[in-house]
Amino acid sequence: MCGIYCSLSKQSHVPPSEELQRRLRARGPDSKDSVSVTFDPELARPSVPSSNARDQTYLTFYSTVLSLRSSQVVTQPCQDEAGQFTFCWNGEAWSIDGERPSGNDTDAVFQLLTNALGECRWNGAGGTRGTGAFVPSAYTLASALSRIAGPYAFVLFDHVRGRLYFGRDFLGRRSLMVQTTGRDSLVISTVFDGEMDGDWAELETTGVHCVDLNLSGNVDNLHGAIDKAQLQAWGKFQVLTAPYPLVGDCNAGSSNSVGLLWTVRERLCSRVGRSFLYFL
Amino acid sequence: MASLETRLRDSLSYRVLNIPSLSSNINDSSGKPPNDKLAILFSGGLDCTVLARLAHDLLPSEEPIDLLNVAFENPRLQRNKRESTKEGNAYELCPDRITGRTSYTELTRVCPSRSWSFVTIDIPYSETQQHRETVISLMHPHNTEMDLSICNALYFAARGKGTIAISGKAAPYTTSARVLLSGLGADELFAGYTRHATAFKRGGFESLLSELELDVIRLGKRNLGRDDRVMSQWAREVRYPYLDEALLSWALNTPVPEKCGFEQPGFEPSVPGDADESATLDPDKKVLRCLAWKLGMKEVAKEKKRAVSAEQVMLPELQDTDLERRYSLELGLQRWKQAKRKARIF
Repeated sequence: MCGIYCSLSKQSHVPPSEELQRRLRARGPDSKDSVSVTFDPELARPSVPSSNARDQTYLTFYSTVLSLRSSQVVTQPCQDEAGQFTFCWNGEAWSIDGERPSGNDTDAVFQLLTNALGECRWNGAGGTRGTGAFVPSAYTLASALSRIAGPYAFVLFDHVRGRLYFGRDFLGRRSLMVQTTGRDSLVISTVFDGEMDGDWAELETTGVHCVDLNLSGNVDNLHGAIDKAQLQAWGKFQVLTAPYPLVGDCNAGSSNSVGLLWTVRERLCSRVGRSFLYFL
Repeated sequence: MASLETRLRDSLSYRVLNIPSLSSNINDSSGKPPNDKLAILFSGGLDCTVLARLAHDLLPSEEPIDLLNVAFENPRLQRNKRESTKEGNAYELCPDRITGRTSYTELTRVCPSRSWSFVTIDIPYSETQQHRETVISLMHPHNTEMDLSICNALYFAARGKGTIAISGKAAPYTTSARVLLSGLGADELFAGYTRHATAFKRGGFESLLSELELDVIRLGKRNLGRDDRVMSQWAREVRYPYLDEALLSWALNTPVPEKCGFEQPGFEPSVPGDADESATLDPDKKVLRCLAWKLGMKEVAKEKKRAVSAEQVMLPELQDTDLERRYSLELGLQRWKQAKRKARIF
């Protein structure tokens, strides 16, 4: 089983503590690596008028791997050649669209998700880097993930557009926890660090959680591009949760989570009425 | 039942085939070639035994499979039982150990070509105490006594350190299998819980169906993240064949009578051969029992559903009021005791 750690902070990089590193390495003894990124929204979108304060976010990724799909270890965090994405994956994609992936499943899922984001179209202001593209990109990713059958927890960062996506599979088979502290940082980790007072919570499994680093602290400047009601404040960061789709281009009973959720939803609706959907 | 078998085989084929081996074929201290591929969390119950039986069909016959069976020392209970039964080894009195051995014996008889290792993991009370803080830390933010009890069982099972019998003698053995199979999910799918029977009695199939569907939805809000943290820290990966998406979809679409066998004349899943005896199988998880029967595992098919007594794996100190004070209980004390009785382990 692999280990994932990702921290976001407005002050400085927040690496994992010694204890956290030890626990993550216990899960994934075959390899470990870390990546540090600084995202500056002004550099990403020079056409946008600069705000008074530099709104930089410091991200740290730390991954450990237990290799079970091949004798060759795929080191994580994964990064594409163009340096646009950083990806941490703790999971098994048994099938994608009903087909077993050829080769390593981490690579196959990385391709699936980056292709989906690349194909996401938004014709509003700013193109796909604009604020308005944030919500569609999150829903696009949730759709892409629902084509996978298997357990997972993941973190994906789009360096160019400044968006972080993370979540677990709908059945919650892999752990991913979140800690919001008062120190302007958000920590996402497979395991917790042993500090009982640290305010850790398990991540909800209803969908994909997303943070747009261009938005942080500037909720009032959304100019109507995003409905503020969709966002939740986790510490200093605004988080959107895009639910896994309950309908899709599939038949009932198809072998991925969309098929499963469709089945569940249809059967519940026929018995207890559509208002029950809010329970989900 | 044919559909269940097909889908369960498909689900297992993803999860047990092509596990890479990292060993260099040096025999361990027990003299057996190391198994670094597959182990099963094995209480001997219907769920995990069916998995073991089907895994046997899928894997090449020279690959060994470890069956991990945990028993805890509970001095208070076991002293009383020892006096009444004159049994020397207290761990052998645990219900999971008894069922485990019975099912293991049946597996070796039905599948003699496979090298099965029944790993008895006996945990003395002192060792439970030694690891207590670690387990509590791993399962955080879950923090109830029931969580601790279940997580102890999972933690020590996943550690996989116990003994196996070689030529009748017990030898120390630690499994090096990196993949563990768990039978979790079968109860949700096939109405194994007592409250499913209660729902059926109260409101018929409509009521039962609602219970089942809620269970599947609630899986995401439950404890699998906790279980992942507790078990994976031994560098092993747990896989849940009953939680396969295709199998779950099929199960939710299948008419409930076919799955459960709760008193519906004319809906008996057909079993070749000795139909009379198979008709007497317990109604809960009937389709799984019929599958076990068809695969030759008749003893486990007939196994009675044990009222899972929490005392099997729970610790004597649960009577300790200091602990009750230290750990916040989401349920009130009365409801906590009720939940304790209904705790399901594997």
